[in-house]
Amino acid sequence: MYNSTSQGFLVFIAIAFMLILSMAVFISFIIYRYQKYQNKYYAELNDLKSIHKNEILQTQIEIQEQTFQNISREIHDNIGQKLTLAKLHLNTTNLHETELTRQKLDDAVTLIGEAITDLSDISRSMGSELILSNGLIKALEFETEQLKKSGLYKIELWVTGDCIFLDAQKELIIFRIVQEALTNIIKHANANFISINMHFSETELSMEISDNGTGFLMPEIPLTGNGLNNMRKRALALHGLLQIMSQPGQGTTILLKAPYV
Amino acid sequence: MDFKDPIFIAYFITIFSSFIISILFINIKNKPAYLNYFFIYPSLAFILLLNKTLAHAIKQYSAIMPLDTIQIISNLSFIIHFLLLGTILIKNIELNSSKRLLYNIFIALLLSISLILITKDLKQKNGLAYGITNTFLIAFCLTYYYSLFKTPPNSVLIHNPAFWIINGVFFGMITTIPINFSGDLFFKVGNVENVQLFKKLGSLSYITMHLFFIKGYLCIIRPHKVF
Repeated sequence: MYNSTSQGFLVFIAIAFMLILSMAVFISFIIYRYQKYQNKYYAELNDLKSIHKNEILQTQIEIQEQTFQNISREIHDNIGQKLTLAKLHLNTTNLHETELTRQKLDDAVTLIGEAITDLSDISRSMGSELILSNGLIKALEFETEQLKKSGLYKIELWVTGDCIFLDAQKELIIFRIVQEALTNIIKHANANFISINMHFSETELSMEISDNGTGFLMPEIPLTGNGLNNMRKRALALHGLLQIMSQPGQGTTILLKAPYV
Repeated sequence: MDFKDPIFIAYFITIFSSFIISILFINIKNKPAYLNYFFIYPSLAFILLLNKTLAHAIKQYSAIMPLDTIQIISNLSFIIHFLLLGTILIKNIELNSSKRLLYNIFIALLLSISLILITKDLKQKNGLAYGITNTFLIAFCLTYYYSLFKTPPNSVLIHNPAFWIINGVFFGMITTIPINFSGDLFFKVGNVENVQLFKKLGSLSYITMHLFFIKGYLCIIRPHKVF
C-alpha cells in the first residue's frame, strides 16, 4: 500500500490527473466542434429555406405573369374578336330591313353569349379558385374537358394510387406545369391524342403527360427554353424532378415527380 | 484489497451510486429506449464488487465462492459487458448506411469472444478476448464521435445521456486496454509497486466510467431538448 508521501502515490496522482485532463480536453473539443457544426448546419438550413421561399415566390410571380399573358391573348384573340364581330353586327343593323336585322341581332346575342362563356372559362382556368376549392384532380378534369370541347384532341386522364390532398400552393404549381405542357402540345406538337397519368405513391406524386405528336430531337429544344425552363423551375420549387423524353415522330412524354414533403 | 484505501472507498461508493441510480431509473418513463436494459451493467458491476469485497472481508474466498467460480462469473459477465456496451454504442451511431454492417460485426465479435472465453479456460482471465473487446468498443466509440458530425445535429450534446455514457465507455476502455490485453500476465510478472499502480489506475478508469454513467442518467431528468 502506498502512503500519501510515497513516490508511487505521486506517480498515480500525476497519471490520473493527466488521463482525466486529457478526457476533459477531448470532451470539450467534441462539444465545441459539435456546437460549431450545429450552428453551421442550422445557418445552412435557414439559407436553404430562404432560397426555397424565394424560388416559390419567383415561381408564383412567373405564374402570375404568364397568367396575365394568357388572359391578354385570350381576350385579344378570342373574346375581342367575338365582341368586335358583335359590334359590327350591331353597327350595321338597318332597322328598315326587319328580317336581316333580326338575324344580325341574333348573331350578336350569340357572339356576346359565347364571349361571356369564354370569359367565364378563362376566369376558371386561370384562377387558383378551382384548385383551392376542388383540388388538383377536379381542376385537371376541368382543363381536359375544355380541351375535349375543341374537338381537336382525344384526352385521357388516369389517376391511380391513394389520392392525397397536397398543399394548395403545391397543387397550383403542379397544375401550372400541366397547363404549360398542354399549351406546348397545342402550340407545337400537332398531336390528336393526349394522355395524363397521375400516380400517388407513398412518398411522391408522379405524373406523366404524353402526346402522339411530332416530337423532337432532344438537343434541338434545350431545357433552357422558356416554357420548358418554367416547368423545370416549378418542379424544382416542389423539390421534384422533371424529365422530358421525345423522339421525332414518336411524340413527347413529360415525367414529373413531386415529393409530398 | 485495503478497505481504508481512498481509491477503494471511492470505487465502492461510485459503483454503488451508479447501481442505485440505474435501479431508480428503471421505471422512469421518458428515458431513451437504449437505457431500458442498461441497469444490468451497473447492477452486475456492483454485485461482482460486493462479492469480491465480502470475500476479502472474511479472508476466505472459498467460504463464499471459490476463486475459480469468481473468475468464471467475471468471464461470463464480460460477455454481458460487451453485449450491453456494444448495443448502446451501435444504437446511438446514426449512420444508417453502416448500421447493418456494425451490427453484423458486433454479433460476429460477440459470438467469437463468447467462443474464445468458453472454449479456452473459463477459469483464467483471457487477455486476448478482453483486449479485442476493448479495441472494438473503442472503435465503436470513435465511430459514434464520427457519426455526430456526419448526421443532422439534432440534439443538445451536453443534455444527451448517450453522449456521457459513451464518453464513459471510451475513457474506461482506452485506459484499461493495456491491462486487459496483458491478461493476468502483468500482475504475475510486474513488480509490486507497478502492479499496485496499475490496479489503482484500473479502478480510477472504472470510477470515471461509472461517474459518466451517473451523469448520463441524470440527463434524463432534464428534458432532452431537440431542435
